[in-house]
Amino acid sequence: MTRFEKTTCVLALAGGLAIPLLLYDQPYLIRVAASVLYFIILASSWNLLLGYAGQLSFAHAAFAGIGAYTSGLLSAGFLGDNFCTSLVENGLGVVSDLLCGENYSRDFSYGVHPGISIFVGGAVAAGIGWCLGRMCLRTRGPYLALMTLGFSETVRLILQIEHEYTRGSLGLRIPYLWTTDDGLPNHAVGYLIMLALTVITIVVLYYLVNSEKGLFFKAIREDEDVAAVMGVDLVKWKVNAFVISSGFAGLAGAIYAHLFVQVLAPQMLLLLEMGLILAMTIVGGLGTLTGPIIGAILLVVLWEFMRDISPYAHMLLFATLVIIVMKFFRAGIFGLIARRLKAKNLISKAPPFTVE
Amino acid sequence: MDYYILAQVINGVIFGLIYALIALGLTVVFSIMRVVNFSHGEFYMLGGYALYALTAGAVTLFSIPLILPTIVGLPLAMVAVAIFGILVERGLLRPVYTARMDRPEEYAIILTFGLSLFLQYGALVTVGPYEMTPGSFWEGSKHIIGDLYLAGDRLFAAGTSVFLIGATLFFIYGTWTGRALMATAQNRVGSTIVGINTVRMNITAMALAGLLAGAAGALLAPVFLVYPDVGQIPVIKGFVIIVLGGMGSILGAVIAAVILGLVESLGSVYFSVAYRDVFAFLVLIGVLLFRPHGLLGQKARRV
Repeated sequence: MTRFEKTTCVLALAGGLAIPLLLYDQPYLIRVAASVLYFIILASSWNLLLGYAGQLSFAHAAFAGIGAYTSGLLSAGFLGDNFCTSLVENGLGVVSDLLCGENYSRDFSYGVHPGISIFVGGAVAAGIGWCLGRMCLRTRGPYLALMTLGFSETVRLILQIEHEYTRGSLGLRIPYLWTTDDGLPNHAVGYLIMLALTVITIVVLYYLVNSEKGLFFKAIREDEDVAAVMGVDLVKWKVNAFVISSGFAGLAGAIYAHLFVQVLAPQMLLLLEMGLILAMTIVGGLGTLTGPIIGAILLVVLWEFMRDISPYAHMLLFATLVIIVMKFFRAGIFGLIARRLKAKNLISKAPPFTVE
Repeated sequence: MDYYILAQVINGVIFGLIYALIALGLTVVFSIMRVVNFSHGEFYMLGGYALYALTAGAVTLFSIPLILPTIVGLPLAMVAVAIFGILVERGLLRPVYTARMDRPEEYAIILTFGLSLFLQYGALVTVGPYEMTPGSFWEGSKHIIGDLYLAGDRLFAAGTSVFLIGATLFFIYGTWTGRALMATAQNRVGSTIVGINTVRMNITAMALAGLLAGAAGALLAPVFLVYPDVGQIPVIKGFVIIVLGGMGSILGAVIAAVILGLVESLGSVYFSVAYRDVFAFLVLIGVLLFRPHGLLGQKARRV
């Protein structure tokens, strides 16, 4: 890392930490800032799949949804009274206290505590990511896109149809992860938890893509067959890319759901959400760590400014941006900046896509 | 005779024929350009809107409201969508096979996905989320046999689909342009050497896809109405069909479409109505896992 990059990282982190102090009396803006962080995590982890490993998946919003729903169902008492009472009857009161925490929230007395269930959500998302990664090993290019699209829509339809369990489109009410004494969420704390997860994601991705493993991913992206000939374990690294990115997506979905989204609906798995993640990554800059961050901040800010015009206008603008960026400068906004910075030796690496 | 089951079978075949119209366009574009057009569902949507604009009298041209008969509106809507398809090919997809670019498949998928969102939300912003009803093609329900009645619009849609599918098959297998299309699909460089203008073949493929998707959208508009995301589910059915039939196989797409229509309508009788749309995805995932080249597709050979 050059000095310029280090300074930028420190400044960005300081800026991120300063937001709850600056906006302490404006919970709405803190929520917006938290949604920026949520999209940064999703776009960055999706970028690992497409930008580094070259696997175009349309199932990322579905993984966030799987994480959120797993955690939400567990904490909202999906295990049910029977499970918790049977634990007590069988002399496992300690486990019951741990899993079926009482009185921590108004009426979710038989659910798992969200502090535990969010990790279960992330783990389930990573596990399903492993399965999908295994299933997609033989498919590539458009087939992979169709397979993941089919998977994503199947998950959404099942969540919508099985309304006896998930409450379908009515929405599943889930407990807050963190509340003040009066039972209301504290947005500043929620924001800081999201910030911590974002920093962890970025740091993990940084060390991942700058290590030998990152080279494996890039080799697969450039040419699978050549990579295999050169000794890259295709099965292992393609599946790993799926597991890591879907694990982060699931964790982010679960934590964000418990902190800011009180009611889960299958709409969070729509292709529209996938379109948002895709637009942020593409507009920011594919195949770079900075790109998705810039894209997420820029697009959420634009979105907030466009709320007054029409509830749908933002998506029209984002789709236009995706088309323009793909057609004219595929390296994205960061790609444009990075070339200038690289020329002045301010950053150590240029983005992988040449700007023509 | 159990008329309920018979009605479901006939319904399944009708839907299969409409799906075939959607899938034929997708498979022709894929075989010629190696591009899966993710905005194909929006071509379908545009067909419905074009029919509505031409026949419902909501649009005025030189202060005369356009109230054409639906039977005249149908070919005009098809042509309108075909022209749109040509514009998309010219404006967005041409670099995929002319310029040297990194990973053209990824470019095409992201671009057409972006175009799909653009058209859907463009429709939402300009005409709003309301459902619109174009005029009917064949009003009322028709008596078939015994206790069996079917909506005239569905019968008309099925009949027109059969005609259009037949015309497409004749065009591809029976004319020189169609043979040139098949040659381009088999070997792009080879067909250039023997004097086929492959760029013109791309335009033909996109225009054909536009014609068929526009026809499907317009034919189903009186049945399912028209709204911005009307094309989302049909296009995914189209994807399932082209994978099931074998990517790029034209006859395979027609057979797979009828199979999918039957699976859906009989599946909703014997298993669950709510899961109707899920069957298609299960078929998709199953085919991709166990028989990636589909029913009639050729095993891909990579060099």
